[in-house]
Amino acid sequence: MSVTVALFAALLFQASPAPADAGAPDAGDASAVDAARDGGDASAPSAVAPPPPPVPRGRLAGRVFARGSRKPVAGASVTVDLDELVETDREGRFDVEAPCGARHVGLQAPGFEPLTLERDPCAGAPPLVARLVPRPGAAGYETVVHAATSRQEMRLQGEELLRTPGTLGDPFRAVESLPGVTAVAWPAPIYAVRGSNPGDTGFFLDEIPVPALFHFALGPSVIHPYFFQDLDFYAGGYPARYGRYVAGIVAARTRQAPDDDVHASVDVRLFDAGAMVTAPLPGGGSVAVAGRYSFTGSVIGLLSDTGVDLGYWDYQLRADRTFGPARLTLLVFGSSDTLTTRSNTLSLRFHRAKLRAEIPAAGGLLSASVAVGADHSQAPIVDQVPISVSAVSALPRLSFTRPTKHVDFELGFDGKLEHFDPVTMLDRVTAIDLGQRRDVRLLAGYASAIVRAGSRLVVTPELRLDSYTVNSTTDTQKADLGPRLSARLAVTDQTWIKLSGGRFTQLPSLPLQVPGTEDFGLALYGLQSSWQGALGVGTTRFWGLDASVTGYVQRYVLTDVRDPVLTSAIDPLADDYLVRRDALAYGAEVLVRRALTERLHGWLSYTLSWNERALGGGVIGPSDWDQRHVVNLVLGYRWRGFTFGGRAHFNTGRPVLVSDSAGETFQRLPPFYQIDLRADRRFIFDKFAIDGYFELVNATLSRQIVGLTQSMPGAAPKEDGFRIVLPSLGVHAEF
Amino acid sequence: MTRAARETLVARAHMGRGRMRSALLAGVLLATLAAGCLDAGPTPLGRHLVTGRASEQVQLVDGAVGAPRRLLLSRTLPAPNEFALPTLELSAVDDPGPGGGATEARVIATGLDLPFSHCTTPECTTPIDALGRLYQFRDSYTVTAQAVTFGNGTLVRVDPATGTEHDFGPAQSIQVSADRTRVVFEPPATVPPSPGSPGVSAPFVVVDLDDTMTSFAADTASFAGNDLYGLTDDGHLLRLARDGHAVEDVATDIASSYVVDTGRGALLVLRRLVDSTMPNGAAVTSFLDATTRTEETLPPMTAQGTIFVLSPSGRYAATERFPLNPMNLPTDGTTTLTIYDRDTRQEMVSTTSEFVSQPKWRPGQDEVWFDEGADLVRWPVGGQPEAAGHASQIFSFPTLGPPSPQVLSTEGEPVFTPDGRFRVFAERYQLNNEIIALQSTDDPSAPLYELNRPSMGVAAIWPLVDGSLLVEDFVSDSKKNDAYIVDPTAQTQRRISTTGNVVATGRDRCLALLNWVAHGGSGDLTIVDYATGAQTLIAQNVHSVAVDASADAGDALASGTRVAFLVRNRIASPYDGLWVIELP
Repeated sequence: MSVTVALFAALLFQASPAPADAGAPDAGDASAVDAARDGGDASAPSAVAPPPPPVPRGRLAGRVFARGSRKPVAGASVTVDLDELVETDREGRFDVEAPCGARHVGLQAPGFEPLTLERDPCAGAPPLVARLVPRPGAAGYETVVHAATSRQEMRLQGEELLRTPGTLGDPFRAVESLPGVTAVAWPAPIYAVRGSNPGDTGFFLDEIPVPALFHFALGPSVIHPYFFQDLDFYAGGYPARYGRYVAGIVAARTRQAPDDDVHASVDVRLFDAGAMVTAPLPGGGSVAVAGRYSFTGSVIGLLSDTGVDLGYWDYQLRADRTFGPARLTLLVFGSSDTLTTRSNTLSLRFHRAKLRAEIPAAGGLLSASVAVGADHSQAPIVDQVPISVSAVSALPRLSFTRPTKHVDFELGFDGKLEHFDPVTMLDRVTAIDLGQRRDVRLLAGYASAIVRAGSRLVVTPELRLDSYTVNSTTDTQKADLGPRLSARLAVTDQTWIKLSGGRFTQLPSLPLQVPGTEDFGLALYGLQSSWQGALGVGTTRFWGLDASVTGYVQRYVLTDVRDPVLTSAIDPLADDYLVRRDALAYGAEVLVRRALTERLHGWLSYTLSWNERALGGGVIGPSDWDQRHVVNLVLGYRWRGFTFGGRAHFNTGRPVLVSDSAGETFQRLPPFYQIDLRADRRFIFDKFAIDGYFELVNATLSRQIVGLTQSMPGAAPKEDGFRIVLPSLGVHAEF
Repeated sequence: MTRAARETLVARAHMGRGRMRSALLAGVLLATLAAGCLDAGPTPLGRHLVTGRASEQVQLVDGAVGAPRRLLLSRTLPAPNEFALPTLELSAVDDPGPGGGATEARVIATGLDLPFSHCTTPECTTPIDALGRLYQFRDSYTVTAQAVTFGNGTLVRVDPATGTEHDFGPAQSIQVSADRTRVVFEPPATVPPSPGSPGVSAPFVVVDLDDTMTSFAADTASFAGNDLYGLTDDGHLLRLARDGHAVEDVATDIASSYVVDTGRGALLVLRRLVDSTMPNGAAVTSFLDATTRTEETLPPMTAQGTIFVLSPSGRYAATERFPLNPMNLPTDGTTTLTIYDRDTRQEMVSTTSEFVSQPKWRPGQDEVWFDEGADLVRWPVGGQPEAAGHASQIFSFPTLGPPSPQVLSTEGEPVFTPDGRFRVFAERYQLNNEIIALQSTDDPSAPLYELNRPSMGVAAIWPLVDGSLLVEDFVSDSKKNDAYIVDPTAQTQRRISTTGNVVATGRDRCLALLNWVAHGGSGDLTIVDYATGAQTLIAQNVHSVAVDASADAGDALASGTRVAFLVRNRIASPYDGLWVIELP
């Protein structure tokens, strides 16, 4: 973000070295500017010259828009013959008085290419309508300056969210290229963070846990990509306002819709279509509505009579409005997936609605929200015995933040009340309550203080108290106090050291998050927990790059799947489907990043990790996700309206169990690499813009190996896998 | 750059490297400490006799008469080439007893056929003579590009104590007498002189403990107790008495014979042909008592029976007779059933036009039960046949449980609990399994009691000494089940364990492999108490278990009972290998 600020300053400097309304300028410079403005000689003695006749003046009025979107540009500086006169208002309008005659009207705004037009204020021309061309790579719509944080998060925004190669345009998929992340079995969007199980990392949208991130069968994210404003990824040591996950957090925020006019965008791809409309609300505020519908099932049905029907849809709505001092935000989103075969039906569906109010109070900001949710899942989990789960939930949240000169305080509470109603044909009494009707009450209070001790040290101590109650066949309640600490020490202006650590807890979980299958097993397995510690050093402006190295150690108690080999005999409702295990993960993460504003931009991430499990029976072995080396290189390059991108991924294989006559042994899958390519071309018209893009995921045709089979003792194991290439061709139009 | 400056830089570089080394060392130390915190799991209870993970199965087999049972380990050796099959390797382990240390397994035989090839008992136990020597086969299979053919293997005798091996040459089968002092094997028939012409049967060979061999020229051979009986192709029933070497001609005109063990000792059922054109429909049957060596003629209706079922006491014989056509298939017509009292030499006769299943004696009672059409019929001795409920609606009863004599056998219907108080039957089919129900045999009209819940199947039923049942119910994997103690009288059940399978039952407790992992086949060997459900873990990742029969006849898992088990973790573990524990 500081890069954006610097860019803004540079633009101002170039455009107006001595602004007319910038206070008392240097006398000499001022006289030179005045002389130039009047067209006279600055060195001529003014005392002897007769007073010039007054120059007739006229008015220059107009409106400035962002080219291609009909969005007004607020705060653009308007200059006439290099004199900055005014800034555009929030509707992009300006109205200035200027001498008659041909004048050079300059328009500049951060994130846009400067524009100069020639106008005569006295020519009686209609109001000027100018359209500024967005600068490639700029975040564009708003610039928020963040103070240096003590946490070790990585933030993605703008094009990084939408155009990272290999993501098919889905912001959540960009996570797989970040340090600390293991993609369990590409192309499935299942991520293990720092040695934990995929279900141990939480995904939040505006602080609401998102129960499912992606649609079935390599489908897109359940949230429209243009709904996102930015996304923070914490591989560990996440803030106390979040909880109930023992590994990392992905916290995404939605964008407030513009309130100037109606805007819309449409996306059409080979396999689905989506649209988003934003509009001002009568009386103030704005609303954004988005949705997506897949025609994959229809295409499959047309092409063959396989009996397979696949379909999905999702929707999102955000409305913002101010009532007096209070600002209200309504966020509604939901998703549905259905996969029907001749023998089974698999469906996942959820809805969420959240209303948040923010009110200034006592020198700070009071934020209160409540979200309600409804989930429904149906899956054949035991051979041919289906189970369906319906769940309703309420998630209240209250926080008060108050910044002071040296300390930013935050106090908060968040809760989750949920009722699960599973239906299964299995009439079975078990201790695992995954298939049992149950009520869950999760409550937490937290306190946080960002302490700025001098100009170089920021320390953030935090405390979170979690209470877990699960009432099913047995009523169980547990509480856990989780202290957390993060700190940032600026060794120099460009070099920092960060540390973070703490304790985190979570209810038992399945390896993957499935709506309706959360919050169970407290009596049988107890809480999952982790102690985390990380220490990192980083530098900025390192040959134009930001670079950091972070070492971490995470000590877990996790619920693992006891038998990772999938067979039809696996029974997820058996008491021992999961097993409580001690686990340890440690390693180092390297991130080198070049800002998005650069013509050549992107990042390189490297993760070196060891992930161990206490497997029992005298064995400490690798976890199922233990990949020693993971390297991602994500690059983008802008050239003549095009943006070419590429992502190269490499990982050393994870361990799998291989059976032979002597039992089973852990063997490593072979290393895997792939290259993804993407090309974008943006066509900007006056009032709308069209993006065409083509993406080829796995352009190297690499074969993903997911298992090894020992056919003959002593022989090389047979590699079981598949080769998937995902082409995507799409058009995005917005106005 | 001056020399001093260079030295300063070098010193700083060294200091930097030193700091890096220190940081690296600290990191490694931290990780090591953290790793050291990981708990590798509990050490198995008992004595770790043999390390390693090669063995697949442990057995406690009979030793020499009077000697304790012997520990055997076996493993499958891969086929050396595509024209061979995997073979078996046997190793013996000398148990030093409580307080003894580790020992080693001695390989005593390799290249043996896998055990399924010449099974002679339902449990497929290894034939062992009175000196503790094992009899096994080799090379019973011929593998070609087209097929795998089972044929005559080579019979070998292995002495586990010495490792010496004796080769008896090709043989088709082997039997051991009751006192294990004599074995008999059947050499293959001679090769036919020309294709299509029959070969000539070779006489059986009887081998005594001292390797004295006696030829037994018969087409069949079966031990009745310790005497060997056989039938020649010209209808002579031969006998080779225990300790004798002279073959006696016991009876003539015998068409077929078989041995039945009864409460009164072994009995031979002899059938003589009356009309050679109707081999089964025109035969008369008599009994030959193997103990008294006297033949017992039967009353006319009983003698014409085609099926003979002796009561457990040996006093009664139930027979069925239904007309057969020349193709030896039942014809439509009347079926005649009889109950013959061997003491009074009286017979009771009943007839029916319905299809009748093979009769079965109710344990502890002098009652015959059988299906008659859709009805279940009870026929007490001295009474009349009477309806006792509905016949099972399921065509075949599921095979239940591991091959253990402790498991309720479901062979032949109706199936009774050992005390005869209840009938166990498949009541109805649902999804992939059957609902198994109990029916009171004293009051067949009493409500049925279902042993499994809907959507679950019954994996095994273990009758316990107090008359209750240990029932294992499963969802999708019969070895991963929930165990219940069922009181059939009170019609209640109580769960004592989940997620595993029972391997042996005692009076008050059972041994189970809990947390069963199908892939690799192992579980946590656990003692489960019937009364409380309390569990005592013996070892994790146990792949094979052998229980030494307790001296306490009423409690197979009495305190001190020796249990051998193989730990074979999914991946190599220091705990892998053979362990032995005397049960607490």
